Amino acid sequence: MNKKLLLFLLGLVIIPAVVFGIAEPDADAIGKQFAKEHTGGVIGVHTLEEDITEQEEVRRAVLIIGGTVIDEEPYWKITTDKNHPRIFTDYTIKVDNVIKGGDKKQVKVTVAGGTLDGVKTKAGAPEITAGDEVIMVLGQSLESAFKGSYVPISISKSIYTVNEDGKAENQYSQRTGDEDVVKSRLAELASP
Amino acid sequence: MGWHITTLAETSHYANDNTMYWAYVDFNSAKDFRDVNVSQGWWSYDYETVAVHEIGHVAGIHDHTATNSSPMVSYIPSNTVDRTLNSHDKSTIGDMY
Repeated sequence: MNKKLLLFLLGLVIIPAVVFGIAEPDADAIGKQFAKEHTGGVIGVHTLEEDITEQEEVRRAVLIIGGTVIDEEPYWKITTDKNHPRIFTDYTIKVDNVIKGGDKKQVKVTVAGGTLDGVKTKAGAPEITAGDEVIMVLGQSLESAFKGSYVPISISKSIYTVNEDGKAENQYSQRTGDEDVVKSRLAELASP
Repeated sequence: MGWHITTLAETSHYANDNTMYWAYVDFNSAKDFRDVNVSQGWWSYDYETVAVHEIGHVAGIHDHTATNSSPMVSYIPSNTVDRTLNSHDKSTIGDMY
């Protein structure tokens, strides 16, 4: 084959791959390799957050919901450093009521941390699992890797779990109480 | 970085059998960091205060403090300056090395 033609054909494949990101690293493969190198340990993530009022938390929220966790899917993601892939978990929430934002039947919420391939990452979020009833105060991520995804406003304070006694709990927040009281308070703060 | 709206910075670390193997720090590029002794904004945060906090984690302080007299708190208000580890923070580090 003509050498110039061969180079041209290679260019047709390589240049779009670079330009359109087809050659991005495989986060899952890198994550699995990372997991092999970190067997038995814990990846800790200490998160420093803005100290904001509940009123400000609600103001920043685009969606506040009450609902039930119906699915959780942890996955590896390359964010800032390909040598340190991160675990994130997407929780699918069946929405029972919307306190702020448009009508939704189901939303996917991305939370930093989770357990995958034998590695546990604790990033400061309350632990939730499928079947849990929750209240969530959500914004939309500005991060390019997650742009448009719903994320808790505060990783520590913006997820409440509702226990069998109807109490909305959050181990990091003093804004807990009866589920109805918490929802009413959030609705009042969200009203114009 | 910046997956969660109020996150200012994070330190990730890997430890096994009481040994820390690595740690790295991310600042949320979406936030307004500056020297707030020089100028303040509506939602601005003191870069050095946040840096001292994260360096405290890298040095081995794993827990946030409940007192406000340390940069090792979980939450900091905007325009707050606290750039000095307190005696408890220092003794925590001192006990490890």
